[in-house]
Amino acid sequence: MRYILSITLALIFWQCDIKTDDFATSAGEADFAVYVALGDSYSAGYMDGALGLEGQQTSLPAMLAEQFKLVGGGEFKQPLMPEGKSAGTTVIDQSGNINGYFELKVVGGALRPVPTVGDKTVFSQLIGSEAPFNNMSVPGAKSFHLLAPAFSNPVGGNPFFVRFAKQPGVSSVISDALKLEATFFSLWIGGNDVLTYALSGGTSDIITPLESFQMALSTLITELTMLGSKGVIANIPDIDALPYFNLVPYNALPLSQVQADQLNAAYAQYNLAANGAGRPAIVFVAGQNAMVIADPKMTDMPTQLRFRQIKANEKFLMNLPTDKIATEGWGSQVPVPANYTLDADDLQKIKAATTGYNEIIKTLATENGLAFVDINELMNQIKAGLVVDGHTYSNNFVTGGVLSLDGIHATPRGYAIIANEFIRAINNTYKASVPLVNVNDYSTVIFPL
Amino acid sequence: MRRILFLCLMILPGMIVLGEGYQINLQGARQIGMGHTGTGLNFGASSIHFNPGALGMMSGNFEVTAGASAIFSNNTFQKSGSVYTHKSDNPIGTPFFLYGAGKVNDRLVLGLGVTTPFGNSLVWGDDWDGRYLIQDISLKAIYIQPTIAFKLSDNLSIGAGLVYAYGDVELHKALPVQGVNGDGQAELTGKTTAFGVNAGIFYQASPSLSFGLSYRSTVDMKMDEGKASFKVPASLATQFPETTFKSALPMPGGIQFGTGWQVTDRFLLAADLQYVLWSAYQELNFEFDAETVPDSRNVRNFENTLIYRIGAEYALNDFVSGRAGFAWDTTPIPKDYLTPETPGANKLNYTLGLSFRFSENVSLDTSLQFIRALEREDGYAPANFYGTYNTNAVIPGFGLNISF
Repeated sequence: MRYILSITLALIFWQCDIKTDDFATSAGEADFAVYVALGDSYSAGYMDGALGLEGQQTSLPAMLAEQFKLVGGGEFKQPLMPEGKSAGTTVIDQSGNINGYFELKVVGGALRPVPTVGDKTVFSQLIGSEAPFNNMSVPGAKSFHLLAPAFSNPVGGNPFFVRFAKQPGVSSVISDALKLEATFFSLWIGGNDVLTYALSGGTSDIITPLESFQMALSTLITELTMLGSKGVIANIPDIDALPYFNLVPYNALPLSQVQADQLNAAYAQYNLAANGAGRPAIVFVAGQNAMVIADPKMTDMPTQLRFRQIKANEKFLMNLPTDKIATEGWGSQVPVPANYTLDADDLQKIKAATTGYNEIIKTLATENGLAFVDINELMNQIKAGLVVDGHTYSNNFVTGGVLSLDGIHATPRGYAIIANEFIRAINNTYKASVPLVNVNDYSTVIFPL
Repeated sequence: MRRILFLCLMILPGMIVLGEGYQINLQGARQIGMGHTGTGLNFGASSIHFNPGALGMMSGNFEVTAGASAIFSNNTFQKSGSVYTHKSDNPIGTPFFLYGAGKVNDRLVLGLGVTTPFGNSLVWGDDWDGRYLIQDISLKAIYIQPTIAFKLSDNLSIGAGLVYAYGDVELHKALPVQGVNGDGQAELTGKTTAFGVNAGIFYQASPSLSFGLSYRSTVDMKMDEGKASFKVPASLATQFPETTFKSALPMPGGIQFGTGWQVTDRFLLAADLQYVLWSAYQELNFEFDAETVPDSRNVRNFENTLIYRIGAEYALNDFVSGRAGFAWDTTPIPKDYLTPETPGANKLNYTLGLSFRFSENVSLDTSLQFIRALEREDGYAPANFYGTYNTNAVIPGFGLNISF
């Protein structure tokens, strides 16, 4: 009898089943009904050196929109690329093909990112009739580009934007965006205002002056908040956190004693001239050596002698063809061309611009009551090692997990980590409870079989 | 339905019996029914585990007790700041016990116990959100304990046993190196043996009042030849070769104090206080012999804990007796060190038991235990993995006793 009773009790207890807590979602003071994202490649879903469907589907704004749907957000339309096609911006062969997604491959026993062939035809398949899109982010866009109708001009405009502008040649990013009458926006711009210069090794393009940046950004915010919509704005990372500017060390030249001696003899003439101009001599030793780089800014030296050894605080770009160090004597007999280097002066200009932009972004965020995301700080944390849900991420190339194979843009998982910073800032500012993204649901760098 | 709800509400503040950490407190069906008390009780051969000192007071000449339990457990996880929830899919755990003891003479009793005082069986799944911490773990420990007990006087006895412990572990965790088929995986397996002691003293203060004190040493399960294998994309295979590893896991000992009060001929009350030396578990490290595989160091920082137990037994007649008990099991896991591998929390244990005495020599004990851990919102800081954990378990068990 009692036995029966205890069995009954057991069954009853079992029915209580195990409890799980529920996360109480809330939009707080924000309204996520119509969300529009403005930005550059970081918001477009660019990764692995190209724009393609996979990256767009896991773009930062797409992730945010997915979470916003849990607090009243609506559909989020992106200018999606055709399936299986990706397009980058580098010409990779003589027939003028551009790169597509980079893939990690085993080349000569080592893992290397190798570009696939991109598809230029996507740029002639215009989808502006489907505009406006909720994701108005354009790879390559600088702050002032978002205001410029010329940016959608089929001739001389940005091909990524020409593709999906409502009226090519007439539309600007902001004018198309405003057609949505969005209740919430994200604005993450400024990266290219300094990055395009950095990527040229300081040899071409100009860094957007702070005044122009300030003007462009405040105009954008004024227009976006005109109808009372709320939003989130993010600052830009220091290039120092990106593998593109850290992968190749300054002292990438290995030498034996014999090689060092031969080179030192060969540079005797140069050293005489350098000494005369009060410049440091070029000296090689056995072991790792600072490479010789071309420096057109050495106007005090004869044209044919405008080269020197790179300093420890100067940088090489990731696109430096490092195999030429051994095969063509780059860095020893042949100075590395200036477009692969950022000298101390370039770096100082880049740093000053980055700091200046970030101050402007922070001030405008505060003035306009916008949620502010400190991406620069996040990247610094990642550089130091950021632990998320059981794994430590870093800014290391390939193995770090956050940055994709182009060394500049994030992996889907990296974008998820960034998305959570956006959500935390939004929740904070607007007293909302938007649930976080599950970072581990997204892929990181894919290793080959 | 309303009745069910009412009952559920009643038991919400707590119902419990699955040990904290990876301890299993299911070592005797009669004791389980009474909240797993027993240090201060003379329950014959099963005293080999609970208090070897009490074995000296064994009434029969020869006794064998054998039994097992089936653990049906559930764990849920609700991630902090997220709508993500997940429920574990744990296999049924089956701890068992076997005791045999015989009197050599009026004062000396020899016995042998085989128990499973530690174990852990958790399956969170291959794809769940905490997979880089743990996917599944199966930990088993079997203690074989030859024991000697000596009756010093009519009311005082002592006993001690040597523990030969066998341990067996298998665990899987995901590796964040991804191929086209997703994450990699590490599989760690190993077996080992170690020694320990269990000793106690038992005092029959009066015909109705008894006391017991026992000590179990911490058994440090050291593993020198664990096996590790990895599933990773082929391009990384040379960096993750099959290899061996060194590791160690302590099976914490403790001090138990218990008392028994035979209130009437039919009614027995018991209480135990158990101090568990969990502070032995400071870290869980895996040192791989292959140089390319990075060692894994995991801080645990467990703290010593107390378990409070009370139990009662009532003999309805010569044939049937019933039991009930309760235990409050506090967690050894400090704030910010809660992992999904041992998702501990303070636990309330409710137990029921029913025995049938078929003859002078044969009896059957049944037990039923309910465990509910208090909801715990916490996580593991070194992995930055936080959420709200809930745990419950229902554990039916039995024990068969033969004596003559």
